[in-house]
Amino acid sequence: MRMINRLPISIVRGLLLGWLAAVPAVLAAQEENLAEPRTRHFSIGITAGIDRNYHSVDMVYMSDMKFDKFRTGSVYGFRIGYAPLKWLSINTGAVLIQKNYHMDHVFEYYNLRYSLNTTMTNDYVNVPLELKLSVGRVVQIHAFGGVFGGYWLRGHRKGNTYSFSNERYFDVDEDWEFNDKRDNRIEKGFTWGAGLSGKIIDRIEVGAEIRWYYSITDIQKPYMQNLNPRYNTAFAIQGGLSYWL
Amino acid sequence: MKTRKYIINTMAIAAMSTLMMVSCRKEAPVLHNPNHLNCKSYTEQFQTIWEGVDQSYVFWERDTVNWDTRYDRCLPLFQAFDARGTANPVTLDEYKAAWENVLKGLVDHHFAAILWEPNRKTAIAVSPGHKAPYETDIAQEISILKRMPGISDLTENTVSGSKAPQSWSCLLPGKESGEKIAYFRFSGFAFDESSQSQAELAPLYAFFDPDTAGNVGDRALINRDDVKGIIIDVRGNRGGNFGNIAMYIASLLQKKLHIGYTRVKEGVGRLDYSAWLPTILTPPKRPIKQEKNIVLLVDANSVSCSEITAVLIKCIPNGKVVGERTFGGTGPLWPNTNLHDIFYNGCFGDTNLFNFYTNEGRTYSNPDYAYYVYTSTFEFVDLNYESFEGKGVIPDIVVPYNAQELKAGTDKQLERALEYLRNGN
Repeated sequence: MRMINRLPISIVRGLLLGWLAAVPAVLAAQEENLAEPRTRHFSIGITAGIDRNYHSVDMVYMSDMKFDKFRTGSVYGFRIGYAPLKWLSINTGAVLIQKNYHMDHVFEYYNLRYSLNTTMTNDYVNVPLELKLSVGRVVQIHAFGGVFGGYWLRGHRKGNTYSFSNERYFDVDEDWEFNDKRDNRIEKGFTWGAGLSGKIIDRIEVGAEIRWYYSITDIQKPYMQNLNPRYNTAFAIQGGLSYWL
Repeated sequence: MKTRKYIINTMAIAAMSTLMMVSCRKEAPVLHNPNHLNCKSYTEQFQTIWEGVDQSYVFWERDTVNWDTRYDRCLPLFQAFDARGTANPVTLDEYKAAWENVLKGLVDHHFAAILWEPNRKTAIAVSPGHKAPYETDIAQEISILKRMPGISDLTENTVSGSKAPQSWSCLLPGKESGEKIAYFRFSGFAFDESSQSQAELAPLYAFFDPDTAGNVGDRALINRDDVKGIIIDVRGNRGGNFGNIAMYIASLLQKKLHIGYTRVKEGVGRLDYSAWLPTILTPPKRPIKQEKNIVLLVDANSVSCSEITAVLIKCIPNGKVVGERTFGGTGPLWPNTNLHDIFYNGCFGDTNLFNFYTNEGRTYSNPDYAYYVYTSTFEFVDLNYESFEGKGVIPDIVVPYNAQELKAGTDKQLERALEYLRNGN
């Protein structure tokens, strides 16, 4: 039986359309304030949160090798923003984000059941560049979208595996050894989301947001024909603090 | 108005970006389990085996063959075979040459593709690994052994159904008067499969005399106080069951021995691998009385388990490997294709075809272009992660094979082994 272990395209489309629906609402609400200039244009800030990563891979006939749908990780980093208008800003920065995944491999051999598993913890640095549209005075609602570039900094493999020659399980706990031919450490993709923010004192703003990091680069280099692509999609909930310069 | 136009443009760009974003990911290729396919033509047989090796071959990280180019270059050969029809049938020589082209240079020295040609109702086998430069003349080497001065306690045995003996053990004189060197030889490691009774294992049992718990017995040759050294001769031994190594070599150990690592493929990609797993041998609960120097005799026809034994002997301080560089086929494997459906690598295809090809007297028939690919399930490396596949293990003391001297009645490799054990160098 063929196992399709991929993020359903309808969910991705739904999330994107939902995000697009927010854009005109925000813009329409802004119309009355469009001409109002910002008094401060630059902001810097920090952000932190958690993410759930979905590792998309089609395991074709290897149906007993199952990848968890989502795996939790952490996100933290800094941001820089430039707001030419009160409703519009351009943001960038850098975040350290974990895009983790898990594989279970359960099988029977001569009436004995074997259960193997591996959790991959992957640290990435992502640098987004995005446009943010905002509405509201005391509490602002935001919708944002853009692109990101990234780099796969580190991987770690932990779990167990079975040795038939020793007839026993062995624990696996090792750093991922990058293979220049196989591993594509450069990442590109799209990011989008929505959030809320508000000033707590004159120059300081706090906020929270949900966002997706949708990678469009395979984590493997195209080193062979018939390569089965693997993609990461991380959904993050982040909080942050900004300081307006 | 300008603002509204700007908003509409922004939305249009965002919508286009969304569609682009969703379609930016590549689709997975359509792949099939190469273990369970029926091929109706030369081309299908080629494509199936090519894909099977693509996904199931464990040496891709070391292999230098450009497998993708091989596909592009060889596909037209098989398409041309199919186009010829019955008027101009493909000859077996052409068929074999085409497959040699496909598989040439693969580093796995266990590798063999067994290919069924349904039009001629026959099978051919293609092995890309190098051939040993000579055949080991075991009969002559044993003949020389039997004429050695001072030889005693010779035990030899013939497994049921075989014409010649497969195993020998004896005692040879040591350095001092009364001292002995225990000698043991098996022409293959398949004790538990081919032996019908314990009597057939007489040389092995004389050598280490295991009790029911696998402990070394007091009557074992290797446990005698007068035995000061041990020779294990695996010249011409083409391998067999990995479990057999533990059965007799582990009996020589005083403590657990970590000899290397193995790994399997873990996914469809050529470079998807499991973690390296340690290969550890455990000694019997009651090992031999004291450490004795051990020499392993090897030659270019020592394959697989024999080579892993060489790696093992190199790991123990009282061990030395003497002879010639081994064959270079060190990847452990299970010929039964059941394991392919667990690890998705190693041997795949029709096991009946393998049994037909490797056993005289069996019959086989198949209307399809059946196949069986015999290839390593595991990659084996030593403690330094050095692979010996296609290279072989180099002995500590190199003594080249000399056919002329052997014919004349001198076994230089055995003499050098005895010299080392008697003099310590």
